[in-house]
Amino acid sequence: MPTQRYGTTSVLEAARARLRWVFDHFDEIIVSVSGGKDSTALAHLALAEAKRRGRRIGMFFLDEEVVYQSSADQVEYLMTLEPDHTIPMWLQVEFRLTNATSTTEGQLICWEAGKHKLWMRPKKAWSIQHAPWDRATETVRDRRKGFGFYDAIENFERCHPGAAFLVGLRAAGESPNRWRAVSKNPVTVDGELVYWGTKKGNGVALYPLYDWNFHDVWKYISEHEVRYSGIYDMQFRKGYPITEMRVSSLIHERAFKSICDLPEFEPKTYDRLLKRIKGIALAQEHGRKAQLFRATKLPKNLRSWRAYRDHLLATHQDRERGAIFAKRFARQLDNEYVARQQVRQLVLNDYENNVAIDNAEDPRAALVRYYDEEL
Amino acid sequence: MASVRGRVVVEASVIHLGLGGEEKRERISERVRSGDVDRVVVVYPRRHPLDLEFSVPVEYVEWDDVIRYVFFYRLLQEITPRTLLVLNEPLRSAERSCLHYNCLRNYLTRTEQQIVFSRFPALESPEDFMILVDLDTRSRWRRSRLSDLGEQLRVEAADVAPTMFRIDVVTDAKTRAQYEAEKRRIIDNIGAKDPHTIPRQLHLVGGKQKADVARAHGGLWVGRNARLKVPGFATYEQALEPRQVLEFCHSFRDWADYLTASGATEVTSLVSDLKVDAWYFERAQRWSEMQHDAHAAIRHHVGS
Repeated sequence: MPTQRYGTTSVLEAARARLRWVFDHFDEIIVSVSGGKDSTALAHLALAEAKRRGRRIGMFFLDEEVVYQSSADQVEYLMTLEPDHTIPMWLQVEFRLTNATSTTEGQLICWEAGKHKLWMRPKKAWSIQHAPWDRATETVRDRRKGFGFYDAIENFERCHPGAAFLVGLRAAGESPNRWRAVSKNPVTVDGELVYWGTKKGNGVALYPLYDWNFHDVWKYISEHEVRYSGIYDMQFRKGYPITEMRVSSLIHERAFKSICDLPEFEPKTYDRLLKRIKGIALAQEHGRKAQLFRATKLPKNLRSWRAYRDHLLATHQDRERGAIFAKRFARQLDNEYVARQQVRQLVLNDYENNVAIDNAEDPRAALVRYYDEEL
Repeated sequence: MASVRGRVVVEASVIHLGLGGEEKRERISERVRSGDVDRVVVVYPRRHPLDLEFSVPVEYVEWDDVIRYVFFYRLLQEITPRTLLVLNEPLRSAERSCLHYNCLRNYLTRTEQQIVFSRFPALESPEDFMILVDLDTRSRWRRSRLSDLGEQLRVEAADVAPTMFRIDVVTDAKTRAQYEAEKRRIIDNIGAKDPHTIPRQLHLVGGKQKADVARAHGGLWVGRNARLKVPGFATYEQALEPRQVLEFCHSFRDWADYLTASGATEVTSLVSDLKVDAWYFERAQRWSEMQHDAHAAIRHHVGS
């Protein structure tokens, strides 16, 4: 098990040292940005190093279209902060995103051709608007789901062999699983084993902020007076827990709850989103309700999660996706514990199985048996 | 706290176990007089307020507020090395990494002076004592165990776990039949409900017979709620003095809260011939034994 040791170097100094190392070892460096706080801090640090060395770095943003306007503004700010040292790589091409808010329109095709009047905002004049990779050799992870978010990233990365992709992923504190994922697959660069990176096709993904925690990021942003997305301030004022303070896509399985407060935070974005895709009004009203998307409470007239799951399967509006769910559930245990998670997948329209199911015996069953015998 | 060859070296003050309100005030006064303190911040659960009067300013922060942003960020800025942080009865959860403890550990990084009071060393197992050690040592390490502790840690310990006595109550055949029927009904309909509902609900069944005995017996009683209308009754939330137990609460935290607020060291309880009553009584006995075990382990590993 990895051991945490507290030395004399701050995480900021360690990150700067890592960046110096990256600049020493790679000719092409690309920072992935999302408009969030982590990538903001990383981009700011990387730009400082690029400026010091008189070099230019790529700044890559895969535009999911359905993001906060503040996130798009933040990305634009980062890409124009040091224009002499930045190669903007704002990718606005068609790809599919899961829409957790609707069962009838389970996917959004971002930047779909012919729907430009419905797009959340017009494309940037200087963005990359056509896939820069060879369509003939384009890779797709799952043909059934179509060309998705990760496919766009993978294909873009293939266009830059040997490049170092810097990602603002943090693995300290909040997620031991993420820490394990980062540290167990170190990458070798020029014979050197790097524990804060992983292999990515022909290039490498490096995580210079991997040991930063939530507070380290905000301390950096505050002390260096870096501009950040105003959504964080609104979330802070509303008392969002740290784990829910995020500014990514508004409609996928883990983020759709952001829609509940969207009319308050960004009324214009909400207005456009309503017109852009189905299910938004429902998610806005019921996103936090225990009986709907959270699936923590049964609807009044159903007595078990199994009954609820069977009802949802029987009345599923999309036969093809209903069959995907039915096939997956047939391989899983038939108990209330698993059934509740299956209901959650159904109401989130998670046919891609992104919100994983713990296929195990109900942890409460042993306790019920104990009470039955003892009392 | 740092780990040296598997033993834990502690830069701590003293953990105070089993003290009453007056003794706590004395310990704080001593610290304020002897230390370089210009401000006292008292963190306390609503059930256990601690009034202090000192020449230095005192701020009281309720347990529930510890995690609120409006307190968290302000206190992080305001707590300085000269602030004495008093943690009164902080053992509120057996989850060593719960958000409240994490926030407290953040506060503790800002000061070098803290004082920890807890009536009991543990909530569910002797290992819970390590939560108090984490707080008293401002530790970032949460993986050390009770057996890792060294003699550097100082503990002022009074074992005040209650001794349990019982008054047996015989129920009639109708109540016993009702109990069996109720048990089947609850278990068959458990659905998505919390399984702990089973003993909680069953414990109510013999209530009327126990209430009759309580009325005949007289004195002060404590129970879950006032539905039985027994004279001299108070709920666990209200009870501030030692009382006889009409029915047990399910949560160990509520039980520890009652014992702390009342100062009870001997507890007499009504126990009917329904199995759930015996189960609750034995559970309370085991809890007291667990407290003794925790004290024994602390003495063994630490030395007071």
